[in-house]
Amino acid sequence: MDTGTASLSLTGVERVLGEGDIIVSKTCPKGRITYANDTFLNVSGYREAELLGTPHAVLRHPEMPRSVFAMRWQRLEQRQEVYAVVVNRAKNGDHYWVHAHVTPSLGADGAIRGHHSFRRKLDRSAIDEAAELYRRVRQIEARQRAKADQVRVGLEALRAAFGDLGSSYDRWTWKAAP
Amino acid sequence: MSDLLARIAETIDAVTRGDFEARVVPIGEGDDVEHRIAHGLNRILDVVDATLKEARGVTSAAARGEYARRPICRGIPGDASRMLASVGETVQVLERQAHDLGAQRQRQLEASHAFHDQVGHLLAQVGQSAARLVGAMEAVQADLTGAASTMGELSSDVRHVDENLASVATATTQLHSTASEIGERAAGAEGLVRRSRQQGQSALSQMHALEGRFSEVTRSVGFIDGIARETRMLALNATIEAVHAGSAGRGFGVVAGEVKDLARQTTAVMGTVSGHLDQMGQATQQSAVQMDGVVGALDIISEATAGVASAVHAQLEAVGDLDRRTVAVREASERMAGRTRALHVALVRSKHAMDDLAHVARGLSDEAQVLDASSQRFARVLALPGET
Repeated sequence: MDTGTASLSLTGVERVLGEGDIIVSKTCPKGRITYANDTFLNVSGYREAELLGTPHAVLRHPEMPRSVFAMRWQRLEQRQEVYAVVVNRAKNGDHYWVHAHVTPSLGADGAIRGHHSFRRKLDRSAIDEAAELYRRVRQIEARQRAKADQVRVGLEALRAAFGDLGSSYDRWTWKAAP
Repeated sequence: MSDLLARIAETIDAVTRGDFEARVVPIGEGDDVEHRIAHGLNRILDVVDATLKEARGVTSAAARGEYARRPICRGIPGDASRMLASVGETVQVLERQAHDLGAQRQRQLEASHAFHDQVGHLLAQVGQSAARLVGAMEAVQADLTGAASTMGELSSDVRHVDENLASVATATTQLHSTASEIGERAAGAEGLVRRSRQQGQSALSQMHALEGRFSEVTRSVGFIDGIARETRMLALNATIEAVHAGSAGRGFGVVAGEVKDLARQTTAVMGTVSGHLDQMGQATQQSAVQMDGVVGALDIISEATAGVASAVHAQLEAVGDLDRRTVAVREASERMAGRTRALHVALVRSKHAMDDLAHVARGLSDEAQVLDASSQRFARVLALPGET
């Protein structure tokens, strides 16, 4: 796949979502994309065939702190809906900020059948705030070599910023996308 | 039928069954009617799905009491967005009601806590007061113990003074009977001493009364000790009751009753102790006044004694004269004795002489008898022819 080399290149160009845009995606429990709506294809620049079956992590932007994914993943495993402010990388190295709302899709037996993600436009002020916040958390994480240590110090930094990583972070994300 | 049309049909079937997560996947590339229908169906399903998930997210969060979760309407068009907005408004109404209810509960809780705090505070005060009372009583007890021992010393002093005064009385009586000038002064002193004795004895009886009050106060202190212990237990109970906020009414009713009861008992005991202390105060004041009287009297006695001393001095002169006379008598007696001894010696000597004389006389008698016998024998010899 060309995603490996693509992740290294960034253009610094931001793509901005429209007010009525919702990026919708579905993943299997292993995180591979099973559905991508046309907004997703338009914003990310990928074709449907490139995304289906590909890990969602293909959209990961290097400016995104590891600890943010870690804290959201913990709540998803508890079968809770989660919100996050996320910057994603388009295929060509552009980036776009979204308010991500992820819900676990549960089977009749209660097992997680996959995840459903809605991604919406963020207000400009929220993007600026998140960019600055994540840059600092990322700096703190970058001082650690091991992934686990990066997550640990990143979570400490987020806790310092939000007090608790549950409701106060959630409220922050809701304000970012009314 | 093309594959894409078949997938569109399957998706519509799934949605009809209620599976709103179903999508036409994959669609592939193309701009014909089939592709536009497929994208359109997915868009409809995305909006319906997003609306359903938002509605569920908001209502289930509200059910958990998390009213801050608001429906995210961005990107959802038309009626679906308005429906979500009205869900949000409903949740806000719920939140206000919950808030009002919470505020009401909070007020009740605060009132309950305030009541707990008040009762707890009162109980703590009662406990502290009782503790202070016990402390004060212990101090009084210590003071009274000291006073009792001082009183014992005082009593013994008074007794001592009494005894001394009695001796002085005797002495003054003797003085009174022995010298006329001293007698006058001593008579005054005697009166004073008698009054002092009366005052001293009165003080003594006051001291005895004090001893009696002291033991009553000690009993009261014991009672107050008991009350203090009960009060502490009560304060503990109040604390425990405070923990059980739910049963506040009943628990505090009982506790409040006990507090009232204790307060009544404490007041009664305080009244009794206060009365005792008043009486003790009066008694000690009287004692003090009387002891002042004794001191005053003793001052006067001291003056009188000084007068007596000068009188005694005069008397001593007289006694000195008497002594001199006695010496003279003694000397005379010695002389008489010397004479008597000499007389005795003379008598003894005379006796010896008499003895000697008697001895000589007995010798003479014996010799006269022998002479008689010899003369008779001679006469018989002479008178034998004529007179026989």
